[in-house]
Amino acid sequence: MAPPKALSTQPFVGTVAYDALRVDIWNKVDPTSASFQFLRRLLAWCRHRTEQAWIGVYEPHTDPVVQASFAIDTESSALSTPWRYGVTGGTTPNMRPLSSELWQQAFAAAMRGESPPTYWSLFHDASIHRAEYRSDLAVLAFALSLEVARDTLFEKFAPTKVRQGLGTVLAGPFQGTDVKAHLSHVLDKVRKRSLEREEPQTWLLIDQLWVARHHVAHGRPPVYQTSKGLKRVGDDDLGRWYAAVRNTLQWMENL
Amino acid sequence: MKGEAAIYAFRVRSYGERDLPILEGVAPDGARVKLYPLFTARQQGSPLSPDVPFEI
Repeated sequence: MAPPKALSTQPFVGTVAYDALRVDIWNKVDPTSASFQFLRRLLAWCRHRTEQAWIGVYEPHTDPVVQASFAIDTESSALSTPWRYGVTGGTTPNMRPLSSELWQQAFAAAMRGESPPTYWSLFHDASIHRAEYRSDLAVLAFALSLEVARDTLFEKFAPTKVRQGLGTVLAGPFQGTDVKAHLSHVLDKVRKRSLEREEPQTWLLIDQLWVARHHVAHGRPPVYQTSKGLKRVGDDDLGRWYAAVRNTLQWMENL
Repeated sequence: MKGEAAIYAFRVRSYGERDLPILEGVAPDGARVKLYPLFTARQQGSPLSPDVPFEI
């Protein structure tokens, strides 16, 4: 069979087909992150203004956009050997090697036609967004994982009703969107369990996350309230919320 | 003052006019940025073609 033919590089519009660029940046504590975030914003604007919807679309794990990064002086001359990296996320204490046991479990589950719960997939998506410095998307994915977990896991003890075309859905008092209430005083009434009472440290972090989620979901920047005023969500926050959401999901699985 | 340069490349091409300008500016937080024009590293090939060469 013949190998695939190379696609034409003839531009659909304009005169040149571009596929690379260089960004120099100074005066940043973490220039690697700052450069990447600048690139992301730049590409989003290029995509929006040109209506070339594919601009900025790539797989950060398998297809990193960073080809080379290196220190420069004020005149943009290289001071170090270029290095290359992908965006794969940071390590966590919960990471584990793929053992024979896990390998076999994955095989058996896949053979049964099963997929991991959606709320865990959303949780892992949040880690990817975090690795890409997308704190807004990370906040939404963390929050959505908790909402989907509630809808999925509470069915085994909460009142439900059947909605045509949807199947079983939660009924009162767990209908609606107030997940924090559903994890605390409402759950306490129904199940004699409360995340607020049993896991107070985790609860405080979930409370912060929910404030940030509220702002992002309404088109505002990812911020949350502190004793010193509103704070922009940083990687340190996302790291704490990662642990809190993970803890909460496991707690919900054991209700 | 040290800075950092990064060369980015994209599998899927974008289309534009020739001779885009070099742009420089200072952000509100004091960061200085120099943006070079987009260029073409792979003259031919599809998004499935081999990586953009490391030595651009």
